[in-house]
Amino acid sequence: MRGLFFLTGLLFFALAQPIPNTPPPDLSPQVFEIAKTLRCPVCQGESAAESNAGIAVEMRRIIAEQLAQGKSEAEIRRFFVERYGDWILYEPPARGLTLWVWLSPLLGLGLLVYGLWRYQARIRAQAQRLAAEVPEEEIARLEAELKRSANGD
Amino acid sequence: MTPGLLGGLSLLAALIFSLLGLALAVLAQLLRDGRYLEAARRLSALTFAAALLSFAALEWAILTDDFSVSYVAGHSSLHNPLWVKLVTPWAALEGSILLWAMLQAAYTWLVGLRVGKSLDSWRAPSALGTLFAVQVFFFAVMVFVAHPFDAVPNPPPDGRGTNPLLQNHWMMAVHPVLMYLGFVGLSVPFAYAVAAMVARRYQSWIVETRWWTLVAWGFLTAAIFTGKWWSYEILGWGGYWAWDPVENASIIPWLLATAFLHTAQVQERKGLFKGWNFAFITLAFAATVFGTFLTRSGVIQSVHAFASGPVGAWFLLFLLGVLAGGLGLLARSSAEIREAGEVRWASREGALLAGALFFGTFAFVVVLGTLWPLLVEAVSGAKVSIGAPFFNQVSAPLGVFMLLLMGIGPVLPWRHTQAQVQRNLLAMLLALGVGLLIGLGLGLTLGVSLAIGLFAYNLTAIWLMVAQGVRERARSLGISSSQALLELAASHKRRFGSHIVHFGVALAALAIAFSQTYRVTEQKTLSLGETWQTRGLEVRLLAIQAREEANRFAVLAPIEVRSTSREGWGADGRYQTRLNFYPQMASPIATPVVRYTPYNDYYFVLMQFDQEKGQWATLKLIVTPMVWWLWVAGFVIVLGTLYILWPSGVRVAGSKAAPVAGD
Repeated sequence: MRGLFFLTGLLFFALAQPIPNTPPPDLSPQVFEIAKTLRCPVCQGESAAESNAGIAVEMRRIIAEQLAQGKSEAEIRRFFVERYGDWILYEPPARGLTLWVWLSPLLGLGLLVYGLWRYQARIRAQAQRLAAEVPEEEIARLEAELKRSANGD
Repeated sequence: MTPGLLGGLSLLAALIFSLLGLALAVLAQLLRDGRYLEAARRLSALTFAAALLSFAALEWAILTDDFSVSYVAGHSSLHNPLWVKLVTPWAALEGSILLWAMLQAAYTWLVGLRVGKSLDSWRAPSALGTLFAVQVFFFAVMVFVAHPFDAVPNPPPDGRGTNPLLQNHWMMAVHPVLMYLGFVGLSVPFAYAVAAMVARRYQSWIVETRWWTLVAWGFLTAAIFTGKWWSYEILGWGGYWAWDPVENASIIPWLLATAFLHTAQVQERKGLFKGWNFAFITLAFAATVFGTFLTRSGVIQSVHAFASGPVGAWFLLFLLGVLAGGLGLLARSSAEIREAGEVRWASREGALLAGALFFGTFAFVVVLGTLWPLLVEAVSGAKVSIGAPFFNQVSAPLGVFMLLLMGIGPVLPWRHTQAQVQRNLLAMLLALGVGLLIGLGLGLTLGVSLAIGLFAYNLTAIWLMVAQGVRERARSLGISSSQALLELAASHKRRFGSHIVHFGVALAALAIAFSQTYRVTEQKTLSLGETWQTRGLEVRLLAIQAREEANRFAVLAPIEVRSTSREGWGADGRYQTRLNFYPQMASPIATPVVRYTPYNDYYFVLMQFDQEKGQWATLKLIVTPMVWWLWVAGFVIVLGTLYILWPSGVRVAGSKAAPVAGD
């Protein structure tokens, strides 16, 4: 029975990608911490910590090896950047074209606040122009509010 | 009649009905004749019936293994279990568009039922017309480019099977449907906004639109949480949110709809921000189309992009149409909108607006971060990656500001602040400081300590507001506090519901802070019978076994886990880690076994095994604190939403027993 099962298992593996029948190295939490910041080059949106693709397994092994050699996190990341370019980093460098992404929160908030300021300025100008005339919907709103406050909400 | 024929014909009928409905709605708008409107309203029911029939035909074809239908031949199989067959319609592109279109038809029908009631005859034609136009798009895409019922000339004996990642977990029966209900649901607020702008009635649309938006928002929230849970249970990396393009596509409309839900209250109460509300709701709907374009066009690769195909260009055109129409109307309206009054920042409306600004900013950041790699590559040819580490860092400060506003907003009165409010704020800030110090005292990171502080701060805010209301009511009516609480909860459903939702959000933030900061992953190869001692656990590999299953082959590695210290609390038990092999997949899928506890989650994944002698197996262990509370938080948020939406007049006890979609 056992033989049959491993034969079937082997068949599946033969159809799939070849995985060597040697145990992978033991990996410490630090390996995964570093791998998390690196892209798995052949995957669709997965990091080297998550993917089970051959190359991701190999990357984790390299990280473990280099950690054992006493290299620092930054050195290990540089090792991969030298081979694949900045593309391998999931955290884009804060310079050049990707600097803009880092600025995007300030940019977004700035744009929205500017838009709001413009909006208010326009509304104010309109209100001054139309001060004499009370809009119909304003009356409806006031009535609704009066009714609501009469109901004690 | 064959299912293929029935499906194809009813699909065509749905397209024709939608076109007729659109034409009638336009006529009703132009000629102001109620008969056309009534006809359009009736056609919405007919379209829904045709779409339902078409969907039923697809289910019929799948259940009877009719491989002469292209969708069944491509995405189903004889060996699929019944439940997989039932959910196969949304396992790939054509079927999922059919589900989408059917839900769209259902929403249009529901809106049709409101005509003459809350939807007056001034707005009804353009609201129905907008929904019919959206429907025409989806049915046309199916009829012309992604036909689920294409005939296969020589039907194969068996289909190619369903994507194993989807078959691997029952959540796939729930999550996509919720997601579509949310996405499609946002078309209704969009239609109401368009109708308001066309009819030039800028105020009255907001109340019912807020309600529809909350319905869609509730579904989206449930969908996002169930998606997180699916990802956690299936993908085997111990996380629940990877800032993957498909996940981003789901969060962008959610953020914009959330912004709208907040500024809509200001319009309702004070008649302000009309133009902003139109903009938020138009963008929220556009974001659903944008998300679909991203994930269906193959422009962006993703782990979740299960249904890509040749429809990208169509969706892009549709997106441009929605944006051009919505923003064009917006330009006209905003020149006409008159608003009285200004906003002071230190007031309820100021806080609501500030909150909406942060939600908008967040959406902007996610859109930019998702698209930037494409833009950079298009402009300079360089390849860049923007992933989870970036989004996590950027969203943390945004999250802190939003949590601060979430506490302050409801405490502040409308218009301006009062003296008693300052006392409340002081108490909240005190809670924030105490929580922060406790966290730091326990040796937690600054971020996690801040999350504890913000949780205490929000809890204090909710408690102060509820206690104050209860005290006043109990005193003025001379009733007991508990009775006053029950009465208040029943009579102020919106306010209480929002307290529940806000509590859920604060809890989710706490769970996210803990789990993201303190997740630990380790991997080790064990021989049979070997024990692995780590993180307060003793993990022993018991055996390696094989099992043939109907649609797959599985390798099982049962393990026994004992906790040896407080660090491994609650982990004791026997667990079956497994690798599933599907004939249509190149590599096996590791299905993690998760031991859920309110303290730590213990997550075991079988990574590899000895294929020759079965003597060793490699296990990955992931320990994550407090993830459990994230699912609780999702449940609480959905419950709070249901509480608000539950029809008035029903007693509180009734809504508590309500069935909750999701989790």
